[in-house]
Amino acid sequence: MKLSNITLIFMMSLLMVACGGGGGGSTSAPTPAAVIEEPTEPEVEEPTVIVVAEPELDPNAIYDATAELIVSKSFLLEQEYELAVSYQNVDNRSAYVSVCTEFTEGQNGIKVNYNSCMLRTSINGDYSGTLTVANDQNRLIMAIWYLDDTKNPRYEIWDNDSDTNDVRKFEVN
Amino acid sequence: MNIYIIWRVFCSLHNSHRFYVEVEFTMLNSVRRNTVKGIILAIGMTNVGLHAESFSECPAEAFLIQDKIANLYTVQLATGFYEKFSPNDWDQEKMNALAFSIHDRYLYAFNYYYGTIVRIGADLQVDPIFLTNLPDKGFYVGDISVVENAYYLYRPGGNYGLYRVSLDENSNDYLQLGNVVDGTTLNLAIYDLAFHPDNGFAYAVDRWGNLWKINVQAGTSENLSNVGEAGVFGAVYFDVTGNLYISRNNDGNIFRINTNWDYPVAEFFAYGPSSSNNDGARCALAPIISQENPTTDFGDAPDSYGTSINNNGARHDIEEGILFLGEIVESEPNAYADNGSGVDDNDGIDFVTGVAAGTTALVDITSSAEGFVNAWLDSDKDGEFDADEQIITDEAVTAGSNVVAYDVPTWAETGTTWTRFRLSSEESLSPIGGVADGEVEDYAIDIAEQNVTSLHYPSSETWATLAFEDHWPLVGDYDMNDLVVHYRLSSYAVEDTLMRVKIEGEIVAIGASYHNGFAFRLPGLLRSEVDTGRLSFKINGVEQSATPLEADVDEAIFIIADDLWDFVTAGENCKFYRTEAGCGSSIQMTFSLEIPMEANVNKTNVADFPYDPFIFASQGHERSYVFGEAPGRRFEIHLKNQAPTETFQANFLGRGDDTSDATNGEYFINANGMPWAINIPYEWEHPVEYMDIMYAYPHFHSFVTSSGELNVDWFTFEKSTQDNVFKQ
Repeated sequence: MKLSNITLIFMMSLLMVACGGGGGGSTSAPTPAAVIEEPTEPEVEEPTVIVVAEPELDPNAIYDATAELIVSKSFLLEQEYELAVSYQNVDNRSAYVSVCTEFTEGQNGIKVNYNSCMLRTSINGDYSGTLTVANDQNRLIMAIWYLDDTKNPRYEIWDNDSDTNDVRKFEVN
Repeated sequence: MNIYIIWRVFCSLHNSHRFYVEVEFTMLNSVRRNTVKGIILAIGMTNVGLHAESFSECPAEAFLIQDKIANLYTVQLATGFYEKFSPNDWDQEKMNALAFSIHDRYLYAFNYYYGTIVRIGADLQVDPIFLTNLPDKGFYVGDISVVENAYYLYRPGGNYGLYRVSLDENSNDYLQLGNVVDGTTLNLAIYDLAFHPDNGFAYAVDRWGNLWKINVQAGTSENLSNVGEAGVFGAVYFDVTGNLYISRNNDGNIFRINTNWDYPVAEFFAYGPSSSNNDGARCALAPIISQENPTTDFGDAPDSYGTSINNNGARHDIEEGILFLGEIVESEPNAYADNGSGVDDNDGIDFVTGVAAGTTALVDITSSAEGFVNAWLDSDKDGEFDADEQIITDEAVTAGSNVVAYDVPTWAETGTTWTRFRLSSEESLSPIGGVADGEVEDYAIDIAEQNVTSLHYPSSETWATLAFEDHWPLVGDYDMNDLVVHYRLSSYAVEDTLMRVKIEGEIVAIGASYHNGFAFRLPGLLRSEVDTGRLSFKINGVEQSATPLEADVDEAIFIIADDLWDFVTAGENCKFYRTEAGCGSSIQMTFSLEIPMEANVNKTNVADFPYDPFIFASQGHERSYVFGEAPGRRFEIHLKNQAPTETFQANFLGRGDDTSDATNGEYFINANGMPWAINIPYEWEHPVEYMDIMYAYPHFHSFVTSSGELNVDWFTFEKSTQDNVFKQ
């Protein structure tokens, strides 16, 4: 009984997809009468019956539709990587550190777009922390402004090694 | 590449009837000067053997005549910008009592060489008009009425007074000068007068600042007020809305007086040209800024700061094109008026350090040339730039980068506020009013706590994107556009203490007829740890009176909207909001949340970015047949493997295609492991309605099947199939 209900729901959902009605988007999609009332014991009936097995993962599979796509249950589809950032402030100078994604290198030196920063902090000592960086960002800049020498900011550029499996580190000494 | 074409047309028909046209082409990166100046068309010759050509239209500029050897200038009253209109070889002696006639669109003046009035054409030809009964001295006060074609001239003293001369060739008294009243009876210490655009009265301000309303038929005057500014106001002008502008000779300051007020007073308006000998005129029927060809730059801050022309907003004339902030400056007829170029000219100020209360901050100011910078920071967040909120005063800058240090007040309040930077050759400026050169740039910035570390996702001014399929627990069509939200997150911590969180976003698309609410949970944060007194929640820039904090729960959950369809509408003949081809509209809903914490919230207890954004069913709206009744707030959809909130009805899990397994920490996934929501740290372009994401982003499948090993940047513009993503 349970299986047939699930099958029915599955078929109906296929029907709705075929009608272009997915996403709840379509008021024109057929809306069957409410055939299922509140399940009586849903929590007790863990869906062990219907989860036959985790579908086989095949990294090289070609799928005709995203509805067929099979993904590891533990893969969260995150589009970022972790980056350990540290700055060793040798003389404990009063400084301001920014880590940003957009900058240009021109005739007048480096120009940072401070609207593209992931980290901004004033420091009097060392700094270390972890950033969550978007996968499409492979080049970052650290800008260090010293309050006792505003004419000479320091810039350090970091390039991502996308092949590495290690924790990525952006360390400035 | 955009190419601006600039036409500059100079007409010089003076004497020799020479006429030349200069056309200038310029590229985007050079200073854009899109004005069309001085397009002057001959309308035709008229009576009395005069040959000058009339103006083709009612000009927005004012005219100013100065000096013993006369020079005629055009003046932008909004900014005080002026440029010489007459040629160097104009060779005219002193003129005064300048007037613009709306009846024939000529300038008139009293000319001391001819000893009578003259008519001045758009081609600057000067034709004398000889009158009978002229007194033995010249006139330096005069204007032409708007409601009748007559020129009124005034000189104080018992032997003189107010005179009228008809310029209407069909009238019986055409060109006959008549004395209306003697200068003892009408005794005013005035240096110019101007006619109101429609009420028939002339107005003038005397040397003590008294505003006079003059009945020119009766020869009487009424003192309306003292405007609060004294001096010789040698040039006065009206605009079409009844504002009187008065220009003071000794310092060139232009003041605005709204004559519609019961007790009109002067407000400083712009820095204009100064002169000992000054007379002005303009077409009283024109607005003071040309709507078609503005030359004015305005700021962007809310109007409580003084931004639009109505509020005497900060504004700069950019006609000269030499002095500006950053790489470009754009003209606009008023603040908030989109000139359609799509170019952001707010490019001159870099906040190279953060702005923290009680600390020294650095800003990098890029100037095109030498000038002075004045800047303000609304430190108390009251929506105004007060005198004690000036952070940079008369700072001399040179071309290129200028790093300037300034002190943020100790009493500055944390959170989002506005700054204003003004560059000009004028050394001292106030936060409002017009000036003849330079640029104003306003920035929304964050005032932080001292020693704060701020983290931003995906960065301080870029967007991440949430894309939901809302058919849960049934599999949808994977166009990933049932709800699309752009958002960014910021957290502010001092060492291990979380001080504040900021959430900003905009509703980008709704490709669903289901009614969804949208919320953020901050996992690990309790409702009681939020400082509700300082909590700020804005929708479309407007502070909301209702708290976004969900009631009757322990966790801190912020409801952005109970039903997003309350805030957006589908386009004409469209079913959805910004998902179907041809159904573009502007973004209709933005939101921002500033969440200050009570003391001692440990940041390690609170989840990392992106927290827990989720959608829920709007109350009273039916969902799919899986639910026997409208599930309302008990229905939620979260990102993959994110546990629902305490309000969620647990037995919804496992229905339909959902295969959540709470014991394994698996939530909101189907049998294939696919979720109903994805998060992308990018300003993502969503697929058009009914378009499977695989056709809009061909590398998405590879990214997923490789568990994130391959094609990690599948979501970028470069990797998209542009034909299959939504375009506005």
